[in-house]
Amino acid sequence: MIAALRAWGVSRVVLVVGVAVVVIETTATDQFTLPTIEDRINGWALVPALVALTLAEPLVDRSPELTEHATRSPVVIALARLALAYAGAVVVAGYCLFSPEGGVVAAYVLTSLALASVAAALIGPWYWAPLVPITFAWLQQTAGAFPRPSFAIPVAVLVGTVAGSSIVYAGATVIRARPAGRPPGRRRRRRP
Amino acid sequence: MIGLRTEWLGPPRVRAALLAALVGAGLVPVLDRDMPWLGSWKVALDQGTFSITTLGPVAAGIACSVYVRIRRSEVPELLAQARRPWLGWLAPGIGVWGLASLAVVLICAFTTTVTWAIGAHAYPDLFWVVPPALAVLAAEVAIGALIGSQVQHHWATPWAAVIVFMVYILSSVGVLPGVFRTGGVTGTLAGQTFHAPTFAWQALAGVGLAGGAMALSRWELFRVSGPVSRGATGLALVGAVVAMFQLRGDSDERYVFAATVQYECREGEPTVCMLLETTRPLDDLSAKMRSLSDHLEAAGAQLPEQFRQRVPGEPDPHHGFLRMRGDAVLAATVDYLTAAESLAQPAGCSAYSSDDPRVLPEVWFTVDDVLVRWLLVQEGHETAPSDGALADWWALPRARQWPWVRATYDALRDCRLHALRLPTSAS
Repeated sequence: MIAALRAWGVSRVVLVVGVAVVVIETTATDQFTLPTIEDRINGWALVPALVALTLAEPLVDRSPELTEHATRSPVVIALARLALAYAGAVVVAGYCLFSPEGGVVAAYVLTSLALASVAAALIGPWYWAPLVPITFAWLQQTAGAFPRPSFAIPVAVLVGTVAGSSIVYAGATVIRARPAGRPPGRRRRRRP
Repeated sequence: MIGLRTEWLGPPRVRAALLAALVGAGLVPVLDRDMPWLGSWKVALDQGTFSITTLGPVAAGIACSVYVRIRRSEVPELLAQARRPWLGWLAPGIGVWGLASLAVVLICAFTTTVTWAIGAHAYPDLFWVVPPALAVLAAEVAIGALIGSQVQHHWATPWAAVIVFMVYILSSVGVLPGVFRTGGVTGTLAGQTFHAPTFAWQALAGVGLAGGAMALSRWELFRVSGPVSRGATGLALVGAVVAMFQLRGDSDERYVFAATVQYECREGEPTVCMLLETTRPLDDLSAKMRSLSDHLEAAGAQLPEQFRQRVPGEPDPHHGFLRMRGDAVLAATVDYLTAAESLAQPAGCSAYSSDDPRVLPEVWFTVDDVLVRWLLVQEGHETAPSDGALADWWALPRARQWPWVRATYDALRDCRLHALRLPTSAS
């Protein structure tokens, strides 16, 4: 499993966490303006978007042939990939929680990764493409307001979003791992 | 002829899907909440180039993905044996840039055509602002190609998009030179045009950065390319360095006042004129101003013959002055408040741009409020205040309010602002 984690990019997850911490420490409380957006954007707004764009990368199966021949079930593989991505996101969210004004942002870090995992489930390696314009729309919509307390996400909604998106991702992984023409439940397995 | 093939972009249906993705990504910043660009062809064109804000990072990600695939294949080694290896290396990048450029041109065509179709005056000669934007796009695609070629792993693709998007943000906030900012004006561009030198510097910087990034993406091939390629890239890089120093100081000067302006008018009493490029609300505004002006005429006030949209920095005491915020200038309709405020300024006095109370007396602000409200009350869009210092005056019959209205309007029309007085119940 260690080799798999390395192949999926555990080092890059660590790098993203490091970059996110640097961004939080240097720009999170800064405000800036972008063209056509009238209100000032709080640096905090960048954190969930950038984390989602980069941390979801381990969720992309770059070697589906290997996955098809894996000894473990696709669900376990999907959950392991999710665990890797969410491990990074939880560290970033935790760092947000203990930063001034960052309490509201923590839930958005996890929610944005949930969104990215759905994108990865639907369009695989191109998951980032819709997230770029969504990031701009997010900055546009939240300018001047994020991360006010009114943005707080209820815990139940957060848990539901993460759980729901994880089910979608795991389901998509199972469907992709099934060889064409083979009915469900008849998946080829090898002895470990 | 391995040189100029662009099969790396995939079969036609994949290219069509990529084009659709690029257009979709670029439309997000264009189709923002109120779409004010519908009110001006110039703003629509500017907004079309603003699509590069999100389209550029997506194009960079695509370029990154393509060059990862190329580097992980045997093609670079094959290219080294080709007659023109450098062109062969550039071809996929040019292909991605071509697709992305087509997407930008389609978006610009969409915004300008829609704006023209709903009545805006078109300025097709201003399409020259698109090529500099495409040069910036080339730089973004080249950055994606550079990342893909150097990293050689598909995980780099979202990183390329993120890096290019961050470069745009840093360029827009002034941390980096303003090379990567395209479009995105927040004003009306009425009486203004695009500042050609800024766009020329931007184009030079874009081409130079694109050339430099592509050279670094596969130095071994660039090194053995022809002297023309190497010389042109070197010159472009030098130009880019100079341009970036220029853009550091000039990045905000993307727009300048036009040498001449033209008006479109709706004849009547009064005649209402707006700048030719922003006439969307003209019919509605002139109708509302005519309706309100009946009350001034009933009071015996003499209206100026013409009310004009103001050209910033140019006082015009001979015409009335349309007081409109940017969103009102670009909107399809205006509210009665805008019409009343415009009507209450029958001359563009130079004093209005002064902060000095000796030039612009404090009483003007209150007088202006009362006059605007009086117009709205006559039209039934406001109710007369029943309390406050002027309650007695508001309670007077309309005919007894007319002398103050007449005297005030005459003073405003003649720019005798120190002659303004608040109304009293004895007036």
